[in-house]
Amino acid sequence: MSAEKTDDYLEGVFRNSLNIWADQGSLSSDRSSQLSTIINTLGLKEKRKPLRKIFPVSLAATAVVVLILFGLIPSTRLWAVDHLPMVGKYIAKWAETEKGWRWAEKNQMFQEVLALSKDKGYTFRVHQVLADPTQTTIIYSVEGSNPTDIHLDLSRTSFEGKWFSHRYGGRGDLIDGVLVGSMELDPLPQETGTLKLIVRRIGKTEGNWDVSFKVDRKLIGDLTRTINLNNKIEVPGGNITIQELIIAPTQTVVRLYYKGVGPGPDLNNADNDIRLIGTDGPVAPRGGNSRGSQTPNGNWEQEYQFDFQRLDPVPAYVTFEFSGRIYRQGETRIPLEKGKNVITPTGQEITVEKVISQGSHGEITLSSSTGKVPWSVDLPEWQVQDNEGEIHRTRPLNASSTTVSAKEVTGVTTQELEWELPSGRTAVSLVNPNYWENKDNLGKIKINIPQQ
Amino acid sequence: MNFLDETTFIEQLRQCEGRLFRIGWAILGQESDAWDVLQETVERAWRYRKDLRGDSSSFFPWIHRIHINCCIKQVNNRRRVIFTDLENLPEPEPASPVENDIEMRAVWDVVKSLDNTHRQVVVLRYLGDMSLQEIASALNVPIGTVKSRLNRAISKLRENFGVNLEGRVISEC
Repeated sequence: MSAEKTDDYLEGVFRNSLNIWADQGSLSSDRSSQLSTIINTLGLKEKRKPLRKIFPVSLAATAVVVLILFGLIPSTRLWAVDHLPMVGKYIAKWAETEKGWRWAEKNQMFQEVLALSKDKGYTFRVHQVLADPTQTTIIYSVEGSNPTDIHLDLSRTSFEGKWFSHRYGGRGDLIDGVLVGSMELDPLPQETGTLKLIVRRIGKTEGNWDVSFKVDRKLIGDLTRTINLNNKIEVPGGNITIQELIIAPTQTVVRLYYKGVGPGPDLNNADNDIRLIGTDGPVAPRGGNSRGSQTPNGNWEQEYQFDFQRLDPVPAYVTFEFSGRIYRQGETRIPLEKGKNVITPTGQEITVEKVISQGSHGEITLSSSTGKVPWSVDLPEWQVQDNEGEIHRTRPLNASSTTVSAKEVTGVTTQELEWELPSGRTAVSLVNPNYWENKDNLGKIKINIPQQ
Repeated sequence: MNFLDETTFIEQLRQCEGRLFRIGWAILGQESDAWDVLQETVERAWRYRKDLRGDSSSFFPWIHRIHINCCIKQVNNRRRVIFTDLENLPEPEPASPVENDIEMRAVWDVVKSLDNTHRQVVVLRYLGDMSLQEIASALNVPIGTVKSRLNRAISKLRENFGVNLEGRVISEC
């Protein structure tokens, strides 16, 4: 009998036996609880993040916007008319900033929806949708006792029965006792179809406020232009491709793609580092999002989208330029002694404010008077080295320290961590193997726009 | 399934955390390393959970892949020889049927006798479900080296069995 068949058989034995052994594994209840704490802490941190695209503006004039209603039966027309004033006020207010909404109103591009769902004393209504190839904007209201934020289950919200949206951004205002809000989701995968929103919580109340309705993005899609760029820029560890500029009547979008051996650059517009400049000057940013993952072979991929206000008029060219932070390998090591300090590879000085070491458990507070967040070293990447040279992970000390906390008066920011070591070991130093380096002028491209 | 929700995510994690932990221990050779990497895996999985689609059956293959990548990163980050504590690796419980148990014991003896480099290849192949090329890229060794390490493990298993394997193969035919 061939040796090859025998080897196949033995490989099967290895696979089967090792899998049986692995399936017999379990964690101690203490460690299982620690994993749950990690998830709950991270989840809590996310919920505290401000909503994307918050542009504080003063209240606009309260003129009611008369919307054209079509294809309605009298009862729905009646409730739509009842709610027009609040929805109208909401749109009018935000149209001062959102030029895309102003255009949509003027050209009657908001699609009337009139879907509603009632449960547990709350009524959730979807009034209008603005769907284009770059995003899907949904305008809704919540009525009831103390109407408050909806919790959209993004993982089950679907289009034509399939999950489609990675992102969610929203805002809302209380107008005449009704919460009127808007949410932005990813663009619909196809031009027409049924969108189903899964809403299972309003404030702290659990219930079911799911709604489905037809949406069409063809009309605005036909008015949208995409300019393919595929302009590659090398960055340490990989390269960024400026993929396309999308000129929609509702907004202007630039999409980038990164591929490399380490995490993609940190590009966010908090410091106006991402700019689109037309012939009349900078185009106001609306926000952005990115998502990345590690591929099976260990490389990293990241997609970025940056949204700007609509171009009106559309110039002959625009310039896109961006700065950000690059992920670099470079160690920062700090002894575990109060008062000790270290300089990171970027020149940031970090000081040990407090150290507690009780057997295998330890805690530390680091501070920096860098005067600005974020730090050049990531909090989750701090590791502790013990007296035998072994490296162990740390974790944030509590929910508030998952982000760097800042004392506004002194300009000092802190990171707080804790760790557990195997029995008999003592912590010697804190090590961070990587850092983020600020990089100005990462990329710049002039994009000619063919005139129509 | 709503993997974005903490409760659901934790429920799914509970069902496979023990398995992930053992796989990590077998790859890294150190219980404390396996625990560190499992925590890192959980943090990463939570951060990228929006990439996960489908029902509950898709959770383990997805987090398993993240875990394997974290283990490989840890292996490659090491700059010195680590003394393994494989003697503390949990022994397999008796398996049924008896044939499985005999095979399990034989495999276990082989795994414990292998050094780090051979054991990692075996675990990545048969528990990590990686191809030979993927293992070679991950560990930064030639594919020939991967093959020879696997062959060595298989040879040891063949010796350990001490069974008339030709007879067994014929009966399978």
